[in-house]
Amino acid sequence: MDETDLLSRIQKGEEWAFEILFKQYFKALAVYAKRFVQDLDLAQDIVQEVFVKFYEQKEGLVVHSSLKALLYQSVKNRCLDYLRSQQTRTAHHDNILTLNKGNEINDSDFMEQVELEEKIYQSISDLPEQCQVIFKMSRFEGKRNQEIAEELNLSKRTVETQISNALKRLRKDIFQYLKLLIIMALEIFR
Amino acid sequence: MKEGSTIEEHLLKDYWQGEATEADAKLVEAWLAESGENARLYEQWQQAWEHAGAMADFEAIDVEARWKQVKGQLPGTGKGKQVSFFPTVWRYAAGLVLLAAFTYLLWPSGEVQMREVTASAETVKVDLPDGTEVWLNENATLRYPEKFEASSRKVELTGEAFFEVTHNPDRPFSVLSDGTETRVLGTSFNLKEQEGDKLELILVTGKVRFEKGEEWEILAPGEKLTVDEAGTITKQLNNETNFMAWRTRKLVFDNTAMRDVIKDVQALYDVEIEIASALFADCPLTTTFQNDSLEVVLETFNILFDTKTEKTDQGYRIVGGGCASN
Repeated sequence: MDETDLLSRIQKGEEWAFEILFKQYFKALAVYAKRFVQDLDLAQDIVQEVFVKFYEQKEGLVVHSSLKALLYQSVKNRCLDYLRSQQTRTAHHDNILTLNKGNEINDSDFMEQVELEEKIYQSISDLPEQCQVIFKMSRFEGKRNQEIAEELNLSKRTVETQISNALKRLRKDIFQYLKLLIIMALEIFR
Repeated sequence: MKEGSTIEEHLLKDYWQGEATEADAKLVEAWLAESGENARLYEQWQQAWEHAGAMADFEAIDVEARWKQVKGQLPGTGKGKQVSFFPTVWRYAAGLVLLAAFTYLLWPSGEVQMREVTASAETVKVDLPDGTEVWLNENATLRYPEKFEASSRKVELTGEAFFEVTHNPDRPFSVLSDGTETRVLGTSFNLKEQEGDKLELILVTGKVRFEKGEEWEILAPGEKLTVDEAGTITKQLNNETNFMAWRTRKLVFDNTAMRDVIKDVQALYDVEIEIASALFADCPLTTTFQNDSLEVVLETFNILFDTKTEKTDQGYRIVGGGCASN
């Protein structure tokens, strides 16, 4: 189903179509919002609010470029509203400074980063389980190969191979994705 | 094949983390110095590794819980609590969920009997016990149990079919074909098993995991996976627009060269069509045929490109024709 179809179904009040949209974008939007507000729970609340507003206003909705762009823009606006309302200038000192200066955070990089990171997340989630466990221990807990091997009762060689596999896979997926981005960029400038 | 020597990726990881032994570090440095390509690869790996840090955030988000909250706030809802049996869910058609739940209850345990359906002369639609719909193209055969197992749903396919799978993450749906396995949660895709080991899989919605022996690939919507005679697996974006024409009886052409148009027409109507003029073969066509007979299609060509159609032993032959170059 393409976006136009999805939107028209949402506008007709077909809730399942809205659910598809929500589930497709929620994670990435929340991670995106966190870049502005620095807190994941708050970020999720903001995105949730945007979705509810979106649904309430669905009939009058005009999508200029894409649903995705609209959602990102709305989330960004809500985040900026929030930051403005936080006049205390303590925790978000830097962000507010940026806001006042140009009234514009250069966020196109944020968006691309988040999309790339979601790709990586998906790519890791698709790895076989053992490979995933080893990769996470290595990446998130900073454990050395030897430590991981001992903890999981595996040979160091196995751990090394699994890390190699994970990295190979990541590079393959991400490389494909980046290539796709380039193709899309070229299409725009045709 | 790429030139130059290969290196084990875990060495690179140790290297950029400053944990490589002196000997390993030398190895990596020598490899990096070998070519610009290696340096570029190194950069990609490092990038992947660094961005993987955001994974913790993605994992910490519980979309289902958030969706329940949002659902409760929507106007016209709030009809009691919604029990969700999906821990993580990809896109799926929610309308099918209830159906799946019902079917599950309606199918008590018993002996497993296999059923077999073959589409001989025309497309056949098969409704599986779990609500999954399968359209079989001509000559395709589907074997499935009268009742699926409690933890899996496995069917076997020869030939080509389009699947619209009822979502049920607790019972993955698999299509076995030619020693390959396509595993899905809830999704729609077109799988075409051809003579030899050739196979083509196009994903429309959702997500599938394709397995052939030790190798596996995950497909995203719009992607096409092919297995050639040699067994090599290739994944690319699908650029065929008419891959489902056998089911929809609809052909869409957008500035498509007649030689390619004819290929799609041949496939849909199962007929041999020969093009006599190279000039005509290059002509672009933009149009849509829906439920039209072969005669109507051929007559359209005659009118548009000033061709003539002759009947041959095998099928048809299109003579003459041309178009103003644009």
